Amino acid sequence: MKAVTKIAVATGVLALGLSTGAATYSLWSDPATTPGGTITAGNLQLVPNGKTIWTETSPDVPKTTYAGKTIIPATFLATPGDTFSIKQSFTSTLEGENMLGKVAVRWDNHAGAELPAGVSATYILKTAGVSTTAAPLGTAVSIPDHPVGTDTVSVEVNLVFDGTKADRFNDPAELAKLGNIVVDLDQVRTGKGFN
Amino acid sequence: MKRMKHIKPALLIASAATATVLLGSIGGATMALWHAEQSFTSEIKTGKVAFAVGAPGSILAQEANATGDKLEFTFGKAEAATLLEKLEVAIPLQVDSLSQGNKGMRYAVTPPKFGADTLFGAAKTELVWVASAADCKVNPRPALPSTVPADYYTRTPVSSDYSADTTPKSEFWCLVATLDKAPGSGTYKNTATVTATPDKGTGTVTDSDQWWANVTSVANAANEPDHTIGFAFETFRPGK
Repeated sequence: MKAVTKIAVATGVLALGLSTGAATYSLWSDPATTPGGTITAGNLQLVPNGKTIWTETSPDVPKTTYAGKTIIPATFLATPGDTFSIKQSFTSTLEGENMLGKVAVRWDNHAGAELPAGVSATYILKTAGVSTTAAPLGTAVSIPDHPVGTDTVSVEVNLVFDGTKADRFNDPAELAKLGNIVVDLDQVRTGKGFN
Repeated sequence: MKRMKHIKPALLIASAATATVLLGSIGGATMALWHAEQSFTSEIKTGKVAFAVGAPGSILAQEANATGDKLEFTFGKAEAATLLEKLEVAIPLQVDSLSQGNKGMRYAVTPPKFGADTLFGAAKTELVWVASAADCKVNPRPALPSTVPADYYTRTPVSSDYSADTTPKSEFWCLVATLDKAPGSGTYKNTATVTATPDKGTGTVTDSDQWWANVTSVANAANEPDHTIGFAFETFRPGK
């Protein structure tokens, strides 16, 4: 045979062998019936709970107006000295043996994020039992050893318009864009319960 | 030393394929840790500040560029001509203020200072806050309160309560000037008496005569300098 023909035959044989390999090993079997074992796959989910909630937290605004109340960011007009809390919560679900998670928050500042001069933001990541310290937007923050079960994971952004920031006199309105704040839930094989 | 056995090309390709499948399956298992992610985004816009001073109109164009700017309302020759002609004039001014969000706005007025050698300097003048531009007139003439409060010339048109208004709030001032008569006008009268001794005879001869003239105004509205009323504004947060 020519070399090319040999190669073709060898490949065919190999493919046939691979596909029929299992059949070859099942020639000998015990026909006794046993209860069918069922393996249920674990689960890892992160689902948002409703909309993002903005709350006016400016310390000098009387509580009779907006302080401590939710606002609609699409229509609210922020001014120097204002502060806001922006909260988004999620439900995390981890199911399975040997399952452990890590929750993290990061800032995708390539997704149209734009904080004008005089505007700053920090965020806190919270789970049922753990709360991180406030970190500037863009700092990767995580909580390890997220256990099996259902939990509420939330991100709280503290947005500050510095009181010394200049007033806006011209159009168009200046926008403070948070960009994409991304919450990650990862299965890990290290940490609590793992060697 | 053993001589390396020659591997036929067909076997080589098969081995490579098997290794690939094996590595692929191992790699798949290794990379199968689960991952889920969610993201959220949001944005908020800033409120605006506007301040303008001028002759009354519907809405004045934005004049200020920064908090602390001082604007001026200027008047001069045209108003002086009216004052000289009618011996009174009322000049209305409009002040437009806008401050959105949790910020208020206040401003202070600096009344004009007139030189003694000007028509307005010779007049009695008052700068009076009025409710509307129509209230700025010579009859009836708006007047200052009998006791002028110390903060009369400081106004707070916009409180620091949250506001999303887009239309500025207009306030009006009125500069009223009155003259009893045109400066320098009046009648000049003179009497001349002549006493002489005649060439012949004795005694004296006395005669007198009078002359008078209407003195026209020495003031000229065309020479009136510009005068300014100053407006300094600021924004402020609640409690400030």
